[in-house]
Amino acid sequence: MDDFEQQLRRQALATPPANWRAEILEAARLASPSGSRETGPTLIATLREWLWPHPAAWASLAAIWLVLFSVHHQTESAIQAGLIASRVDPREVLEAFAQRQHATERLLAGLDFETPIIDADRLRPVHRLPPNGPPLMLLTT
Amino acid sequence: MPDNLERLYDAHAPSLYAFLLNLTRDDATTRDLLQEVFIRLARQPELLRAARDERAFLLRLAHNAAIDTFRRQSTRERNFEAFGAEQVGLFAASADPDEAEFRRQLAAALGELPPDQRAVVHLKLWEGLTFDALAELLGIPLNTAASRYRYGLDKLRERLRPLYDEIKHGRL
Repeated sequence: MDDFEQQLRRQALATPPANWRAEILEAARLASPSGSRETGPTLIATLREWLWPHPAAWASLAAIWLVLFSVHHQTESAIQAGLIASRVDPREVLEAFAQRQHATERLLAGLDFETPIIDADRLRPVHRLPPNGPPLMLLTT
Repeated sequence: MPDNLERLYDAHAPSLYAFLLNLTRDDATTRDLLQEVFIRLARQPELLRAARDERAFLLRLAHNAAIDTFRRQSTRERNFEAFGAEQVGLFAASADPDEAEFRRQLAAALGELPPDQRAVVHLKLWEGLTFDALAELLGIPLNTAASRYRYGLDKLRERLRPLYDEIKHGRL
């Protein structure tokens, strides 16, 4: 190596920030097969780390859900109120049905349902030849 | 977590940090890559068992991780070359104004090198690797490693010569 290379080599390089050590080793610990099985505060910390970068987005989403829930709740209340208002008392229905049935019975009672009398002789078959006469073939020959 | 992960960090993180920072020229990316290396070690502790040289193996892991990042980011607005233009605190602060200025200009000159030359120069100068080790670490032929170092060093010499001469003669 010449002087210039020696000069370059003498320049001390920077070292990583001190706080990186704990952070990187913690991340490595979580990523290791044994570390990933731990739950509890570690899981919460991971979720917090995942959710925290976008608090405004999560708050907006929560607000939208609240609005949707309130609209849904109000609509459901209105429908139920309408159903309650339009509900009819069953006793009134039965009373009206009984009145209608009574009127029908009175109407039917006023009608004449006599059975017509049929003359038995009119139902007897009519013969063109006398019953005791010769057959028709013999008459022609 | 492997028991020796803390030991590995204390022993090698400064070297990995400087190498990655020189490659990426970005603190946040360097941190992500350094963490990626240690997460990989935590997940696959067997990786190091087959390594002959811990430092060289970790530098190779870091280099590969950086290359993957460059490839991913090259499709976005920032690309491989753009990293070099960043001004970063690659060197330790110095109380000597001449030395501080030299370090500032050296960091800037390194940023002007193509990344493949920058990697070779860094590993040769500050890790003291031989060209054989360099070539194996970077997965390139020996001659390529040597020529990249020569070209890179020539560019640094040309860029820093005035300041270097001034400092050298001033001290003499």
